[in-house]
Amino acid sequence: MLKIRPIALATLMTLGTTTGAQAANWLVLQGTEAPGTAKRAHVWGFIQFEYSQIDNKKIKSTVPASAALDGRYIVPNQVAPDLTTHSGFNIKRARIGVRGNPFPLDNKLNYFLLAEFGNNGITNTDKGRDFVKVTDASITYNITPNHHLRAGLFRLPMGDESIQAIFISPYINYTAVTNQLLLERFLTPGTAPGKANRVGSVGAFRDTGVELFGTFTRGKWEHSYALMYSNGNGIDMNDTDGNRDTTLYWASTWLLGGGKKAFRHEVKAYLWRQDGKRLYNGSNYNRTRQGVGITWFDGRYRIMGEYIEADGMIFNGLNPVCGASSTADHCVRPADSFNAPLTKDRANGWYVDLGYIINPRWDVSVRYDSLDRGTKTPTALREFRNWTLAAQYHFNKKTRLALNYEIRNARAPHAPKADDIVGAFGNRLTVQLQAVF
Amino acid sequence: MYQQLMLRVLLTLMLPVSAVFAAQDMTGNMEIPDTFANHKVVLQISDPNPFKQTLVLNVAGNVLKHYGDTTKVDIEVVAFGPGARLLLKGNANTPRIKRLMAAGIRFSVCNNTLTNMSKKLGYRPQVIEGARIVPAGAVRILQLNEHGWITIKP
Repeated sequence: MLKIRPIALATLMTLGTTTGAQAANWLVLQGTEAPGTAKRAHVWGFIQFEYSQIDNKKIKSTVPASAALDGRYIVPNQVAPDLTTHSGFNIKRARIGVRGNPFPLDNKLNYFLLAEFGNNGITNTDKGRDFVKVTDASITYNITPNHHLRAGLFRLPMGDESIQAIFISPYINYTAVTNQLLLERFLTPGTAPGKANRVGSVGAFRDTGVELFGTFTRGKWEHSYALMYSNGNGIDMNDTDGNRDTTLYWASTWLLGGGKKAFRHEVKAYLWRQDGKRLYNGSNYNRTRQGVGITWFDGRYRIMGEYIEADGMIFNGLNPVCGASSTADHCVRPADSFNAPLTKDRANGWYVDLGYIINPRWDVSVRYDSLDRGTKTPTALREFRNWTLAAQYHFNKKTRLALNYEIRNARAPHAPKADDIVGAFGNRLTVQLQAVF
Repeated sequence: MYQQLMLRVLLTLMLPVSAVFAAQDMTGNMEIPDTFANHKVVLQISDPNPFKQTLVLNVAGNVLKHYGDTTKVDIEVVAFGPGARLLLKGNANTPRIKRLMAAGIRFSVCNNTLTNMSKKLGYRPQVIEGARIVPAGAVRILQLNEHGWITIKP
């Protein structure tokens, strides 16, 4: 019989588990504490140790424009965040946090604090690698038991793939649409034309600001809303350009009965929209993101789908070609790490995810995601089509081993040279061991 | 000797009278429940650990389930000290507590604890509807023990 430490179980019930449940009111789970039962300080966290291997395909030139690149390796086939080798081990995430009610007799306030010690886009910045980075630091004032005001640094109320606790997903890497349209990179012009470099950490689907959120329940219907006003600067806490983001969110959930919190059996439909501006190369550019999605979980089957549109400040990918002196085992990164963003272009994408819990030890999932990036400019258009196969083995409710195999395809239908480059995208195999405590 | 016998008779007769007086004691519901149950249990919660809240409700439910109903087992949950949070209004376990109340389980909360909480909060906290306030939780447990209830502290 599985033995589960009570506090760990309580944490998992509050935040999620490793079973790939993914059906929950994340606004409430992350922003509030159960009244009357919260500890003054509940320490929790998780570790993700993984091995990744990417098929390190070379560019095959089919047009004269790419002839000089024939046989070269590409950066997207290297393992993040360092992007210098196509395989390797990594501590992808190592987070420790504390949450609770600072004055347990009074249910009016609760807090959430989380820090990252792993090696990823949060701790790797343009200035090198940070030992630790705070990813969440918020205080929630509970206006009423069902309506709340949250202030600080925390997740933006967007689609489920971005808002859910990362450790409950069976997928190790994000979809292309979430990774490129929502996981914001803050860029500054590079040394070469049309190139850029990162400033600070990735946005990590978070921002610093204030959020009003709450729920209404009518019979088996639960409606949730959120309105967030924030800096538009990811997890770097300060504001660098005087612009603010406004994010709106609405979800209507039909409670199927059974399960609770992150295990809850439900059908949820949601929509969200984020508006803001970004300062790039001395000018402000509009940046809008919006999405609509649905999630189904009945305790055995999971279906998730989301469609996302983006307008302005479109992430235009890595500066893709490894230096000429690169070898199969070492990619020499170009001087400028990224392509300059498509400041006035658009993108859209979607994903569908199906999951099946075979038994408490095993579950399997399959996901298809699609992204069209740069849809207003034919030569800038990039099409990404990916399949991800996932399986998880749960040692217990706190620890799991996940295996993901991603079949990655990319095209540049109106740019032959670029098409040769993205045609070298290799498939990715990742094995991840995760422990939640 | 006759006087001692009369005294004993009088004392015996006074017991139900005293019980009546005890039942009429309105300062905190300290009356001894009138029950025919063969098994009598008082569950103590005095810990701040929120998991203990879940545990004491689990034990209450499991004991009741084992014996069938409150005609066979009498259960009272007594909350005092930090454990009194269980019975404060708004507690996330309220629906479950209400179901157990409906099944016949009593919930008592310590008035001394509520008074201390009042000093910290600046106002007197409200308790869940249906919870009984007793003058002192520990005394309530002692009283029940003296009348045959067994204390279990999960």
